[in-house]
Amino acid sequence: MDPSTLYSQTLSQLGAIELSMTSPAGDALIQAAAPADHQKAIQTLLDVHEARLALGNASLQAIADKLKANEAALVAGTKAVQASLNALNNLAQILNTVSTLVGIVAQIVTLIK
Amino acid sequence: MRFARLSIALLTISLLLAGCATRRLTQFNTFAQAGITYTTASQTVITDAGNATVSADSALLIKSRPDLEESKRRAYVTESDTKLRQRLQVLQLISAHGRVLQAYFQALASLSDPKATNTVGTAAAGVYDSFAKISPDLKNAKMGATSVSSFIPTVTAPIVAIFKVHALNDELKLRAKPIADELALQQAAFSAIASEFKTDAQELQNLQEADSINQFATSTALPANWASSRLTLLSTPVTVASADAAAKAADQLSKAWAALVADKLDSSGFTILMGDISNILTIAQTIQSAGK
Repeated sequence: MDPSTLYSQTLSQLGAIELSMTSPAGDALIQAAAPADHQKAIQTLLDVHEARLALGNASLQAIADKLKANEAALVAGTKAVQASLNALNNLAQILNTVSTLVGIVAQIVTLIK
Repeated sequence: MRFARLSIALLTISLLLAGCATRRLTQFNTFAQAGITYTTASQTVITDAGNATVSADSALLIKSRPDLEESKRRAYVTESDTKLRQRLQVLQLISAHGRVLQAYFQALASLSDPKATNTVGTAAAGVYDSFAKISPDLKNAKMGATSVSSFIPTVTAPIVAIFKVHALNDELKLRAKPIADELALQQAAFSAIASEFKTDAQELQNLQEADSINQFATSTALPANWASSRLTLLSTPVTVASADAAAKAADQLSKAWAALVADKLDSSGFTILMGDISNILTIAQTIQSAGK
């Protein structure tokens, strides 16, 4: 079993335990328990919760690391696409400049004629 | 006469090419727009998931507090704070990465915008007009009954569209695998976030419901807002639909990318994709307006 499946299955079990203990039915059982059992149940609930937080963090961190590793490809792609767009914009800009320049020449030619 | 025939043939070919290129540009553009919408909406899901984790933790600590020895209270709250900071930090990393992905989709959307192919054509027509001011022959050149000048943007637009499609297809070849990996990771991330989000939101609701029951069961007087709080509690569904929708939208986006790579993206594929994206957006907007 790969680590991510193990993380996900364990997380799911911890979550189910936590939800069962905090449900109105679970809460009623804890409230009715003898003081020692009651206190033990509360501490167990908190320990399960802390374990779920820790495992959830590890699971999300593993995915975040893989996303980070893929980031260079995304940045390279963005730059490549932007470069193509800039090339087109530059061409339009060059043509506009040529147009202005030729327009000026046309005015001079008209003046000379 | 020969010039006119040649021009008409050229124009016809240009328009045919324009049709193919525009269809492909539209495919890219719709995919990119869907990607932008997905990344925007998924940011809200990440924020909601982080808030739910902290709220559930606080509610649990408040409930457990009377049963904990004072010496243990500090240890539990400190431990929770550390783990919650880590949780918010890792969610922040995923969110920051989402913005990088969004920038990629925005670049794709700009280059694939089928409406923006006329810029170069208009500039080229400008150059022609300027030359035409100098040369009377150019000024009077006609293609059929219409001046050549007015045809230039029409002929240039397909060339620009083909350039764009070529650049986008190149990008697709280069980045097909990394983007497919990225979208699979997005799906994995939002499945994990959704799972945790569901547990946290359900736990928060459990604790509130148990509180409401305990308030009623004990002999102390009920709070004045007990009935209205109970109504709110029982009538408000757990708001985790957005997280499920985000994972589903990432899955659809991944399938749409594969279809785009294979040039097999049809209108039904887009309809499903846009349906999922619009679903997550609606849920995210509903949550945002409910929070205001």
